[in-house]
Amino acid sequence: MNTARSVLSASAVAAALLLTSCTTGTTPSAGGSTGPSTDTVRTALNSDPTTFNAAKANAKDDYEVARFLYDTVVRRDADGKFVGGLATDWSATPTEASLTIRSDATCADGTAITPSIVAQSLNYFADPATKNNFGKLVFGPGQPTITADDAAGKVNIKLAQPWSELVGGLTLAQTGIICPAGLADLDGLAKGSVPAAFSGPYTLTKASHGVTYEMTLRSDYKAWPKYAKALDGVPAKTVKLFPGVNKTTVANQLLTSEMDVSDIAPADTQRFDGNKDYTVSTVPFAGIFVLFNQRPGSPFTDPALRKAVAQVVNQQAFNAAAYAGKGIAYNSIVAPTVACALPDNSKLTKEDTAAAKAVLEGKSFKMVGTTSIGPNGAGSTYLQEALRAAGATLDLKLVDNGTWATMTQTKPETWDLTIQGDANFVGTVAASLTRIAGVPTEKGGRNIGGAENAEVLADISTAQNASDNAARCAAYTDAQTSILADNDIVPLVGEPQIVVQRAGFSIQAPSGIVDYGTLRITK
Amino acid sequence: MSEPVALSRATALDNNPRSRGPRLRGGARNLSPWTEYAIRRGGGVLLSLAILVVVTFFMVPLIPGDPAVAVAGADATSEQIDAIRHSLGLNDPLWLRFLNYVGDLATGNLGNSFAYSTSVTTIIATKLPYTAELALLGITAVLLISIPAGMSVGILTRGNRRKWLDVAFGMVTGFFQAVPQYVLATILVVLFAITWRILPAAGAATLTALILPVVGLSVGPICSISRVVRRETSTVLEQDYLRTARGWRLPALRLYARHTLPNLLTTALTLAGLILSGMLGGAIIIENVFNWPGVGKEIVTAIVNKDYPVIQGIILVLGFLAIVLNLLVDVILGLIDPRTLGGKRSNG
Repeated sequence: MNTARSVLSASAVAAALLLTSCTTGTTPSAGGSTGPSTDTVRTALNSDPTTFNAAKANAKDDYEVARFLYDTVVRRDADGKFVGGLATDWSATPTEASLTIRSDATCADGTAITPSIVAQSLNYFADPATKNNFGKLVFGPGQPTITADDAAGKVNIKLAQPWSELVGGLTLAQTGIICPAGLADLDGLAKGSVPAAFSGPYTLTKASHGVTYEMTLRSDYKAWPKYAKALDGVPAKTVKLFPGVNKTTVANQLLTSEMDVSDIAPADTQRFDGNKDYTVSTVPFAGIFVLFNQRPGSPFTDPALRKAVAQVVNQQAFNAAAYAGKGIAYNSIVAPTVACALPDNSKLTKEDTAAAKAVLEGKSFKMVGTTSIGPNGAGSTYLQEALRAAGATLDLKLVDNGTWATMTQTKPETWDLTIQGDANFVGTVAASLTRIAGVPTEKGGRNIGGAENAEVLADISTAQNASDNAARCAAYTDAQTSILADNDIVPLVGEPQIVVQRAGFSIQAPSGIVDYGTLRITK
Repeated sequence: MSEPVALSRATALDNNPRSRGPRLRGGARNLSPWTEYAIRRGGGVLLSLAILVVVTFFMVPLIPGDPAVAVAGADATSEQIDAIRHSLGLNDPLWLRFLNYVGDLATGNLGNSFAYSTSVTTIIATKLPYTAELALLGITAVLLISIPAGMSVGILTRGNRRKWLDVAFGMVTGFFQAVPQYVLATILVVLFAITWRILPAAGAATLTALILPVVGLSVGPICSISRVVRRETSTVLEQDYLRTARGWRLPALRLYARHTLPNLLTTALTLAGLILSGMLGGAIIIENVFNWPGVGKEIVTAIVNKDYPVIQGIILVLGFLAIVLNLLVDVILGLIDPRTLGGKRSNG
């Protein structure tokens, strides 16, 4: 009996020790002792990438890893201007574009990246069968014709309808060029198990779901973008990405040198205030605005009610409730950093609680909010309280992101208003305007608000037909002015993406969009 | 003093509950207690598994929200969402999905994640070892600390001796038992990682990264079990057979290790089994605070993503482990005290 007990006890301890050898490493602790060598950068992901197929990327973490693994034809410089990626030169009109592809770029298996390979990849991205969420934002409505001329080193794109923002769209990580080996094995591509699929500076050398992902710098990679000002430092030989880390835990790990570069929560920024060992950069990640359901039967088909809601909203109070005051002020539906955004807040409906109260007193509305806007959905709770103070009753349903998306996109009868988070990765006014104009979501479009808004659609069309920036911005200004005058939305703030960089590490955010391809070790 | 003669000892120790031997039930059926036990528990395990499979399958779709919308992402069109819903099999009737699910289970296939390009088996196989490592080290620490501590206090305070020690022990263990895990874990991080910088704040990259999560996970159970052990020790020490044994001046080690410990292990081990099951399935807070990549974090993410196969797979595996652990504990108890094979425990 004693022997049996001893054996059982020993087995439990042995099992734990065996598991220890399977899971944790034996390298020295970073906590207060030796960190990794300086050729490694450690960063966190919100969660595991849903796919390593750049063309099907639809979450922030997908774009982030795609930036390491795939090159795009065009990139953005620090000032937002376009610089060459795989293309050395390009020309574009509202209806077509021509790209000259560099001759020294190769896939990870050494295959030369020819115009044919680029065209094949872009055709796969644009193919409706690929079912990605970004094709229409890059190429506009309709199916583009993409052809290659290997002899001339060119890729030619003809658009179905005018879309003057094609070149900007081609900077998206989702348009990253997938090499032929990846397109030949789509299952492997999604899992990241086809190294020859990668055209970017890194290959995926370790993928352990929920634990860590490791990217290794290719020794043969030469196609670095030629930025106007060369980036300081050198690219990391290894990038380790840790998925699903709680943001406060990330802040702890940055402070203990266990993490090098990562996003943190707004409430944790004060932990880095005045600490010269860290650089904190804040960019708008998503525009946050009140969005009204304007489908027939909703109370907010009445412009007076929309205006009254706009009159009770205080951007600063919302910012304090949702983002510890770290949100970025918005003048319109897009961030101030987006080309053609309104330059000031003069078009916003002014706060007027008394006038709002006269309209809202005794009214009842249904609201659905996501818990991800502010801590536990504090942003929606703020709006509920603001409306309650104006005499209205708001039946608020706070749900997780997935449920919120289900309700707002497929069950319009369940809500009258919501707080929308709009991550505009394309960085164009049109990408956000289509949330409130055009085909409604239940009919296959992107318009969550539901009203067709023909005037805005006409402005978007004018902008897309414009051959110069001034004409395009004039049209976009009209569209933004129109939606604010009609109170189709009430702009709140930009959800901040707060990136902390430990001394010796840096990352750039051209046009307010964090580009993980610019991650460098500077020490 | 030497031990009494064998005859006297045998007579005296007949009062020791462990020395009575198994009380055989169903002896007329000529089955050994272990065979009868195996049949009874085997049936129970099968029934539990069947209930687990059915409940898990039908419970998960009650989570609000459409998995297809969650998978499709914010910019998907309704056409894309419909296509995803079809490809995930969500348009099939529930009974058909259940049949497919049971059929897959029969072949050991837990399905593929809705959200990630990987199988549920891979996800669980990657993450379960982390949770198991934490839980096994945690329960080992719990048993190694709580039993000696509880016994020591029980022995030292026997018969109302050292009242102050009893009160202090009760206060300290009661306090730490009451501190919520997230508070304790945060304090550990602040002190050992951020202030003193002697241990990692989070992650699973190094062996030292195990220390704080194991401590955070174990402190509460250590206090709980040591309190139970202390109480059991006091009770056991008052038993007649132990009074007799003390009267014979048996050596302390023999007295406590051989005659006291086995009689309080049944309660401690039963509790430890339940705590271990809880640690395997419920280390979510510790895993979050310490960024420990276990199944607790995974199931929370899966619920948010409406990733039905992952939720079902994890619940099923954790439920199965809980059933197996309970069985294992009962087997151990049967080895220690064969009377429990009949469904009774020692010490009444």
